[in-house]
Amino acid sequence: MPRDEIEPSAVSAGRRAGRAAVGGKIATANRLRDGVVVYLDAAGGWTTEVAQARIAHSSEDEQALKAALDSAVRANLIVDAAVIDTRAAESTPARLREQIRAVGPTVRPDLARRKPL
Amino acid sequence: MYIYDKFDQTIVRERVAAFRDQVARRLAGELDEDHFRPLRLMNGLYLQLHAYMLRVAIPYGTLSSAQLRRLAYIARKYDRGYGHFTTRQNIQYNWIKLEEAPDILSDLADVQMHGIQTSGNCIRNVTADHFSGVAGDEIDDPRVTSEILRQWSTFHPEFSFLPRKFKIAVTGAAHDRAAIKFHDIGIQVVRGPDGEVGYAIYAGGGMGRTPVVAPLIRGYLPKAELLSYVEAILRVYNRYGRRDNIYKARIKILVREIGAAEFTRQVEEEWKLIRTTGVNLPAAEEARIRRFFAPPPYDTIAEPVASLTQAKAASPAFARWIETNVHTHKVPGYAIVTISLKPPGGIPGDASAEQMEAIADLADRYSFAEIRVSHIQNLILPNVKQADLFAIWQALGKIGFADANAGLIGDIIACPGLDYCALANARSIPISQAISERFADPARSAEIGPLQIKISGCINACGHHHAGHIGILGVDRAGEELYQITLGGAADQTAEIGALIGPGFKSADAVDAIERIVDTYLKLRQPGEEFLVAYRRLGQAPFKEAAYGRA
Repeated sequence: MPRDEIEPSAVSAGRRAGRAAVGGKIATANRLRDGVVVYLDAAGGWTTEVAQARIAHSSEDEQALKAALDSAVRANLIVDAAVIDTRAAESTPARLREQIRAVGPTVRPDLARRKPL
Repeated sequence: MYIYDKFDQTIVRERVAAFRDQVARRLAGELDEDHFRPLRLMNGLYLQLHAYMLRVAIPYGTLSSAQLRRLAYIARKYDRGYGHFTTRQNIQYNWIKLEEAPDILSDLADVQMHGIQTSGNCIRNVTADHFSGVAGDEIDDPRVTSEILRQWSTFHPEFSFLPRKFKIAVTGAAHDRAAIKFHDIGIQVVRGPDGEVGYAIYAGGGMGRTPVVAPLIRGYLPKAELLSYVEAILRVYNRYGRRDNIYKARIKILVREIGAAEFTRQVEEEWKLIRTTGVNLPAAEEARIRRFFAPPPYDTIAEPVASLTQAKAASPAFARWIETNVHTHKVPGYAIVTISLKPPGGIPGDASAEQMEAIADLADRYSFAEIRVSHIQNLILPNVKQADLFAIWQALGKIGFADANAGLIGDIIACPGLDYCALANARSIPISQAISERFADPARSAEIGPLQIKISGCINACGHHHAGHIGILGVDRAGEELYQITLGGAADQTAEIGALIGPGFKSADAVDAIERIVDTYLKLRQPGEEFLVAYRRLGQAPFKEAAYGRA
């Protein structure tokens, strides 16, 4: 089944994207000083907006993400660093866990960091 | 309630200062995360999905109104205006900043609170019956025992690096409201052969991926020998508990592997060596601690209380709330109130700063300034006059906590699940919300009667699903949240582990399955027969068939 035919996951519907829906990779972590969820952006900085995350589509790009995470961990800027899967061609995380990290608790839409993905 | 002495206050203050220094060194890059993580966990500071989470200890679930007000202040000043009361009778804040954590701990220390031993492989916050000291069926107030254990276990050097975490629960009555048989050590106050007060000791219970109902290892322990006996249990566990495999490190695995009889023999042998070496509490010290739990100055009140009778007659909704949320007090004219933190569609255990403050005010006005947290994630006003119940109910209505559902189907335990927790595999709260909404009609819920639903979002079972009459476990199957249903669990003196009925349900189907199980119960029950009793009589088959739509 082509990737774009896979039913999109919706945080509010209690579904996760299937594993087959993996697109690219993005780098994420929690900021050390306040624990806020951050993503590596295209300029090499850290953004709280998943839509601005830099997407890796090749293993070389993915290595660059990992290097950036390692360097930021060593610089004591971030903790719990991880490279995660995204849905095809977007920065929306593939797994529900990561979608919830990007948006906030599904049960408190009033506290959402951004609109549901 | 217990008030810190200079020693307690000093060690908590010193801990705040030490942690402030550690946080500063971490932020300055002098400590890396591998070195810092255990230090923050020793103060209850976890990293969750969205931020740091601070778990604050509420010893045996007892709070003063001043402490609850401070918890509200912290929710408002450092968090997002709310907190979550947990199945360990603690409170958790979900949106904590590391850089502010030392100030929070300092604010907590002002009211004799902290996050010490709410994480890590040590003896955790001791839990107890939330009706301690006021229940009519109580032999002795378990808070006295719990406070002794708190002081003994705080910073205990020998037990600071156990194979795994260690949880103790105490009940003062035969009716177990503290789930003691699901603890590493469960302590029940009993009367000895000559009517004197002592303890029955259970050991090796627990939930998690290997649920075990604790066996009784000593039918009677003299009260004065509590600490030496508990120490003997801890010593055997500390020596032989497995450290090679985190999933086999709890005491329940040791007790199961060598057998309860052999475990007991080893404990008794160890106990012989240490029972006279001085760890047992001197009677004078026990008496000193007991004085803090002396009954408040109750008035003499004749029952029945006329104003209560009249108010019940005038308001069926109030009468229903009295039926479910108000419990018999040991003193005539008084009552125990369960404040349900479970409005239909709400988040079990969550309370806003405003709600906490309103409850603190009610405690000041009506309940000798004391509040309890139950492991069922509700709050309790333990000492209210029956004549004040109507005013309390009305005040609770204003903050959305007047639901008449304590002990009923809507009184659901749910862990934070994947909405917050870094360990979770599935969400717990949305399933809980869907169930409580489905059964929101108070008449229907009263008709169903006592029914405990408990929901966990992973196998660690913080939501106590194994002990639910209906238990729900969220799992991740190939990227989809599925919910497995267990039936027949019980957390009380008839403790039992629920049995899985079969494959999991999708979230949209789980609530329908629960409803079919409940409808089957209503169809098959005998007059007055509660769900759990009916289930034990009928077995799993009819409920399983109904759940999968084959009935």
